[in-house]
Amino acid sequence: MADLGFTRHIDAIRGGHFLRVVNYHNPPASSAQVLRRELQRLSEHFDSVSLQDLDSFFETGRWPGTRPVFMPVFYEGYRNSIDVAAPICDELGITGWFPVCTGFIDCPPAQQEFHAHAHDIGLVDEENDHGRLAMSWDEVQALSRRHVVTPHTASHVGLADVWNDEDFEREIFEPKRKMDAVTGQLAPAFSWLRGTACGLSPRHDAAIRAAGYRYHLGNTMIHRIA
Amino acid sequence: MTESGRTEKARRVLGTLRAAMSRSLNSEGIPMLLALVDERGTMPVVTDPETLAQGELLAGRVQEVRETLAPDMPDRDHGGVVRALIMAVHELTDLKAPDVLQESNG
Repeated sequence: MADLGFTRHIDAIRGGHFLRVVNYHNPPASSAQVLRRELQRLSEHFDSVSLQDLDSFFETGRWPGTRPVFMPVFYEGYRNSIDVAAPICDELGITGWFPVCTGFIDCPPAQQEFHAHAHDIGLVDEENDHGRLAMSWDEVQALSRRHVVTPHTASHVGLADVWNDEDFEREIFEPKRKMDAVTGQLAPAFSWLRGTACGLSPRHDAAIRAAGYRYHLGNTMIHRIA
Repeated sequence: MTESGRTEKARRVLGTLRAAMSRSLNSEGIPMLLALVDERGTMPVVTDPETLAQGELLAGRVQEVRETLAPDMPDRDHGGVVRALIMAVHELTDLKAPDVLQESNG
């Protein structure tokens, strides 16, 4: 069983092995000014982390620039990641990280509201009648040219929801194959609902590695796994 | 010591906790501090003095939250770890929280 306690975290952070993250979920258009202000302020003090920066840190222990770094993360694959978050990131020169639930993207727009409620994907009232709530695969492709897009399971499930071979295929393997095919890149990271860490189930950890992911994004750690 | 038995320091740290937990998960950014770990082996040694200084500051904040608010909490209480890591980087967003942890560590 993995050690996820205070001491392990404190030791890692004290050794310089840490990353500041700001996790966003569903910032609607009405919050665009707040989001812009927040990201503007962050970008005045921190550089955002690209995938290459993270890879390099795990090899060398160094970040590329002289300023501290941070990672803005926009979860689930909402359409407003495309309409609201990504344009602000682009305007500010920030690299965003977008873990997306591929089943949300696959879901026909008319069914997305029910799908979201059925899979712990939070919605905001102002978007109730906007039609499509998730980004499209074409938007995933476009987003991946400037930002990091990677699977967050298909159905927004946790580790305990994945039991049999069919589950493993649907939630871990297929999302990566689909995303790699669309983006022409290798999706780098996997994350469970609620950010369950690596090290709690050998079978699940092995499947994530076998699928070809090299990072496991937990809610208190980023694990380099391959 | 106040009527509740809390020290002034504990009251101030609790203020940060309450402000951090009042963020809207849906529409606002939730700041978090993540540890970077390599499951393949050991992490490379960090030598940059500024990164190490920030690590010392942030680790001190996590330690202070634990010692101030939960000295009896088991080391492996992951819920406690999550909350302490959120509080350690509360200044990343407009939390309007008192900068309680800077006082002793910054």
